[in-house]
Amino acid sequence: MTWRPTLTVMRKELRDSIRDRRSLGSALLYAVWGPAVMALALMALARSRAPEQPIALAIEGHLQDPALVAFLAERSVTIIEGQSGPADGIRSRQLEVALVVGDDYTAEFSRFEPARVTLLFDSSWSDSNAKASRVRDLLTQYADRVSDTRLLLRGVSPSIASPLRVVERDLSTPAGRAAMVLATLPIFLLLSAFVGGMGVAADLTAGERERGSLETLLLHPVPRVALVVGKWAAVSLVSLATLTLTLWMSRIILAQPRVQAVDVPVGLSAGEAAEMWVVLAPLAVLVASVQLLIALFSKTYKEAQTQLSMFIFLPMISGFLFAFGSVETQSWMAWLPMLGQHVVISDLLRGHPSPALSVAGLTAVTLVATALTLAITARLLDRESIVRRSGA
Amino acid sequence: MIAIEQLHKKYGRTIAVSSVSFVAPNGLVTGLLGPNGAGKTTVLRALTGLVKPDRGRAAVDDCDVQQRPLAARSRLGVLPEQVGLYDRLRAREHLTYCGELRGLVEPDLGRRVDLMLDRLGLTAIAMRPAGELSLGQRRRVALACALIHNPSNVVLDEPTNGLDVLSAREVRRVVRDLASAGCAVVLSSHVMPEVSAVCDRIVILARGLVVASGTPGEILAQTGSTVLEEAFVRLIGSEEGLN
Repeated sequence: MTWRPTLTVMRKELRDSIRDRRSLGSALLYAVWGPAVMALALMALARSRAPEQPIALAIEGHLQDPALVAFLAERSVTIIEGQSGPADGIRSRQLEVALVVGDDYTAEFSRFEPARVTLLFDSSWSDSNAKASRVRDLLTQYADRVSDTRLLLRGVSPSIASPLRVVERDLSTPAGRAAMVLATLPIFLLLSAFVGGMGVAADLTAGERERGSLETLLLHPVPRVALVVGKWAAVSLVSLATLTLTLWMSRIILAQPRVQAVDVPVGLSAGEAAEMWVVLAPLAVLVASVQLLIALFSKTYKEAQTQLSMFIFLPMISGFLFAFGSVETQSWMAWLPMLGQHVVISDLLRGHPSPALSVAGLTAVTLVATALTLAITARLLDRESIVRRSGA
Repeated sequence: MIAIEQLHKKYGRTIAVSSVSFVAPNGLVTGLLGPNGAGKTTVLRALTGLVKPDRGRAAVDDCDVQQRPLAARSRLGVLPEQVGLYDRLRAREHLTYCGELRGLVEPDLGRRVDLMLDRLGLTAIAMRPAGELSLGQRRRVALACALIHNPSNVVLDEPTNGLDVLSAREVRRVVRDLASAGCAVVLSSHVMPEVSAVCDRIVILARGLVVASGTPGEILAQTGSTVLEEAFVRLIGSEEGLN
């Protein structure tokens, strides 16, 4: 095979694609909004996990328990007394959490009877739910403390009332916790390999068929495989540019202070980003070849876009199954394109890089699959049904 | 020289062409006439290798199109019915692209591009994207692409379709010039006056069969007609396919 026509086709397709704002725009837009969506998710997570976030606790009734007020104040809970109708405030989302103190609170407390308080919150609202959970924990701690004091005053050891002492030890490493928090990051990165060349692949095959230029192209004395490889090279370059930009934007966005507020170390060093690029680049070129093959069966650009959009669900479904624990990682997965890349990137984020030999094996399998897909596409271009737009 | 020998092609149960044979010699324009569905497109596609015949063969300068497709295509310049240009590519870029795919390199490539732009009256619009060109201009760009490598055999499918009177006249002049230069030209057309004015020989297809072939004079004599349109109607047995 001579490389001259391949390079000619690649140059022309790249020039044409760069002038096509529709395809290029959608590819480059992903590199920005992909990491941005990820950052928003992390910032939301950071908010919900912040341990000492100040809480404004609205009180209905009179909390005449200075010890409890002091206890809460020490733990960043500000009491807002004299709140009337806090339930309405929570329903309208003006208040996150409130406490209704019973009229008999002081009397019940003095009689050593359980003093009734009612915690108001909205479980369908994550901020309200998180703060209610923290207030509940603080009230339980306060109740235990009062209970212990009362038992001691009666000469009874508080340990009698506690038949079990549960000690919690979190054995996860900071990197491991980060990987859990960033379980969705591999999905965003895998998606960049799928989104980048989608529009261009649709234009270079189905678009060519739609405007009749595919037939004209096939009239040239150039082997089909040279045409296919030229188109694939152009799609691959756009995909790789999107991947590079996505990783670069991810580095910038993950370094932002508000994202860093997550209680686990998140971030992408230049070395890690480079390693991810090496792992994902073969996938991007495989996806480019598969996109060309799929789009070749479409009659119009729009039809190809629809079919290629469905193809994008593949990394999303497998990614979410991995992220939310429905699928256990198996050793054979490391050899399969897409699943293998997901496993390797997740391991990288967890701080346990896969062995170089394993990555090399996955890359080889991915590249062989790419070559096979290109060979099939080239053969299909010899099929009359693919080329023919109308009969005799 | 272009030769079609005993060409037979079926799509499912429909016979597109059956035992079609003709020769388009060098230095002559051979017109391919027929109503819609007569099999003209199938014949032209078999000639360019886009359709594989069930039987028979197509050859360009003795190169079998199926056995040596690249060699056959390199000797052929084709203007398809649907011009198929890239809207974002400029006229000049189209010619350069086609020239490179035909193996032309600088400085020959640049010279051929300039020559074709000039010959087809495209110099003024050379830097305009194809999407901004009129139908006639697009057709002339496609014709220039088909001729960029100075082929010895040319296939033109409805070359004046959609052109204004002046542009159509210009294209007819180019077609005659090609034949004068020794090219074998096969021209498919519905326009009878055009066929009469340009073609040296005519092959008439109907229902996938060759119903007549010869010079315009021979066909008129064969049917006892005085004008080609009348002869065509008598040969195909209906007025279907006439403009």
